[in-house]
Amino acid sequence: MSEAMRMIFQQALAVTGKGMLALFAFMFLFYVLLVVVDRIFPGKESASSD
Amino acid sequence: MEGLFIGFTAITWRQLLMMAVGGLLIYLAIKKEYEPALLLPIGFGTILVNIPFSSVLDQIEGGQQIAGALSIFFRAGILTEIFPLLIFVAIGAMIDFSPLFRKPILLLFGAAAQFGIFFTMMAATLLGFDLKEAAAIGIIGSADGPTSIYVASRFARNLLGPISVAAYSYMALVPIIQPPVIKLLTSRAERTIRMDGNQKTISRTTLVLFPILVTGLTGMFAPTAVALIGFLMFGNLVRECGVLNKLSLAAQNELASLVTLLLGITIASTMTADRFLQVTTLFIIGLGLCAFIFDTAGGVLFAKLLNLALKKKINPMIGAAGISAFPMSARVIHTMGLKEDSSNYLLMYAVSANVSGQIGSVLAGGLILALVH
Repeated sequence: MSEAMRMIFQQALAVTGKGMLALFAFMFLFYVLLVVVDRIFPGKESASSD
Repeated sequence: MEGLFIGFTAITWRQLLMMAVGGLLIYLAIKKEYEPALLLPIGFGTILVNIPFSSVLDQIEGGQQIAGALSIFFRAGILTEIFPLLIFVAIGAMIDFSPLFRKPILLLFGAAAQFGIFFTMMAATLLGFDLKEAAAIGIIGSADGPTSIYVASRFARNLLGPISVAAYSYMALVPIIQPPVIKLLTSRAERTIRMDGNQKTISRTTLVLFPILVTGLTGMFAPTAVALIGFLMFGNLVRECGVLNKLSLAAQNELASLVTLLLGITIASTMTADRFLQVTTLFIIGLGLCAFIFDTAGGVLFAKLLNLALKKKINPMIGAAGISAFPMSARVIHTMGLKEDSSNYLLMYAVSANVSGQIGSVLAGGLILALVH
C-alpha cells in the first residue's frame, strides 16, 4: 500500500468513526424526541398484540 | 447524402456495447420488474446517448455549441440537485412514521444498518479511489437512489452513471441479497423470536411536530444535511398536516412519477461509452454489493448486541430492515419470519425499522457531505 493510499484510508477510517457515532447520536436524539412528544401529546391505546 | 449514413460510419464497438447495456436495463425493468421506473428510463437514455452525434447531448456544429436536451436536464436538474430533492418531497409524502412511535427503539437500527456505507468507503480507498469518490461509492449502501445521486453529483460526477445503476439494481435485488446474510448471522432460535407491542394511535399533533422538530434538530447540529432531511420532512409535513391532502397525493403520485422519469433519463446522459466502459465501473458494481451485505450485517449484529442488554429480546432479523430499501426490506424480513414460524408476524416492526432506515440513510448522506473534504 502506497503512503498516499494509506493516508486516504486513515481519513476514511476517521470519517467512519465520526459518521457512525454521529448517526447513532442523531438517532438516539430522535428516539428521545419521539418518546417526549408522544408523552406530551398522547394518542389512544387501542389494543395489544403479539 | 453522406450525412445520412454518418451514424453508421461513426459508431464504435464501445457504443454498440453500451446500447446492449441499455437494452439489458430495459429487459430487467420490463421482464424482471427490477425498479422499472428508474431502470427503464436509464436503459432507454443509455441507447439515446450512445448514438453517434446524438442531439440529446451537447454537440459542436460549425464551431458553435448546440445544447442537447439531456445535457440541459443534467445541468438544470442534477448539478443543481433539484431532481433528487424533489424526489425527497415525494418520498416524505409517502412515509408514515406512526409505526416508529409504537416501538421507538427501532430507530437505532436506522443507524446500525448504514454501516455498509462506511465499510464500503474504506474498501474503495484500498482500491485506489480518492476519498470523495470512495464516499460517493459507499453511499450506494444508503439503499436510497436519490441520496446516492445527491452525494455522487457533489463528490464524483464522473461516476454518477455506474453509482446510480448499482444503487437501483441492488435495491431491486434486496430479496436475493439479504436472506443469506441474515441466515449466516442468526440461529433458528433467534429468527423465531416473537415481538410484542401495542397498536396505539398516534396523535396528529405528534405526527405534525415530528418532521418539524427533526428538521430543526438536524439543521442545528449538521447544517449540510438540511437540504436532504428538510425536503424529506417537508413532504412528510404535507402528508400529516391534514389540510393539504390534494398536494400530498400529488407529491406521492404525479410529482414522484414525473421527477423519477426525468431523473432516470437524465442520469443516462452520463452513461456514454467513454465514461461507463472502464474498470472502475466493475469495481463500483462489486463495492455496491459489498455495501448492501455489510448494511444487512450491521443491522443484524447490532440487534444481537442490543439483545444482550434487553429483557424483551428483539428478533435480530428486524435489524436488517434498518436499510432504506422501503418497503422491500420489511417485506423480506416479514416473509423470512413467517417461513420460520407461520404465526410470527414481524411486518409492523420491520416497517418501523425500515422507516428509520429512510431517516438514517438521508442523515448518513448529509453526514458524509459534512465530514468528507
